[in-house]
Amino acid sequence: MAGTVISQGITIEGEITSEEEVIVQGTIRGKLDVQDAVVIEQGATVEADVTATSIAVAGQVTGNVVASDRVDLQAGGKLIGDVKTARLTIADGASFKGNVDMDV
Amino acid sequence: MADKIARRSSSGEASTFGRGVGIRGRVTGDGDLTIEGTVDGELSIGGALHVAGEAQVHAKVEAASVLVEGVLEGDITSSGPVKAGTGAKLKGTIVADAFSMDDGAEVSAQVVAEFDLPPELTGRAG
Repeated sequence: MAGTVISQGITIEGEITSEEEVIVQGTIRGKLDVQDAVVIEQGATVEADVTATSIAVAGQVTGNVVASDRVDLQAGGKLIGDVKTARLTIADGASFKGNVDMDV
Repeated sequence: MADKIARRSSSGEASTFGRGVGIRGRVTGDGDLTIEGTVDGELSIGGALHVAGEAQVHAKVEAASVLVEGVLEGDITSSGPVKAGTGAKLKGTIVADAFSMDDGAEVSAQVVAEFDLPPELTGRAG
C-alpha cells in the first residue's frame, strides 16, 4: 500500500498522528504529528501545527512547523507561522511570514 | 471483493490513511477512502469506504458504500451496499441499500437494509 494520502476534496478536522510519510493534497485543520516526512502539495491547505522529520510545502500552511531534519518551502508554497528546524530552504516564488529558529 | 464495492465510488480522488496513522476528529469530503490505521470520530465521504484488515475505526460513518475487513464500531449510513468481509468486527446500526457478510465476520449490529429472502423463506406466511 502506498502510504498515506489525504487527497484533494478530503477535509480532516482534528488530530492526526502517523509513523509513516503523509502526503497532503486536501485540507487539514488541527494538528499533524508525523514521525516521518510530510509533503504538502500544491492546492493543499493546512491550518495546523505540523511536527515531522522533514516537511515540504508547496501548498498553504498556517501554523507552526517543527521538523527535526528539514523544511523546504517550495515555489508557490505559502507558510504563515514559526519554523523550527535544522535546515531550511525557501525557493524563489514561495511566501513566508514567521520566525525561524535553527537552533544555532 | 474490494473492487466490486469500489465501483460505486464517486469521481473524487482516493485517499489512504496508512497503517501507522491515527486520526481523532472529523473526516469529510469526496472520493474513496481506505483506512488501514485508526480513526476515532466522524467519517463522512462521498465515495467508497474501505476499512482494511488491521484498521480500527470508532466513528459515525456516512459513505456511498462500505467494505469492512477490520474493526468498525459506530453507526453506518450508506447510500450503497455495506459488506462485512472475513475478519470484520462490526458493531452499531447499519442503514444501507444492501448488507452482506462473509464467513468469519463478526457482526453485532442492527441492520436496516432491503434484502432478498432466501428461497426457502419466501412464499411462507410468518
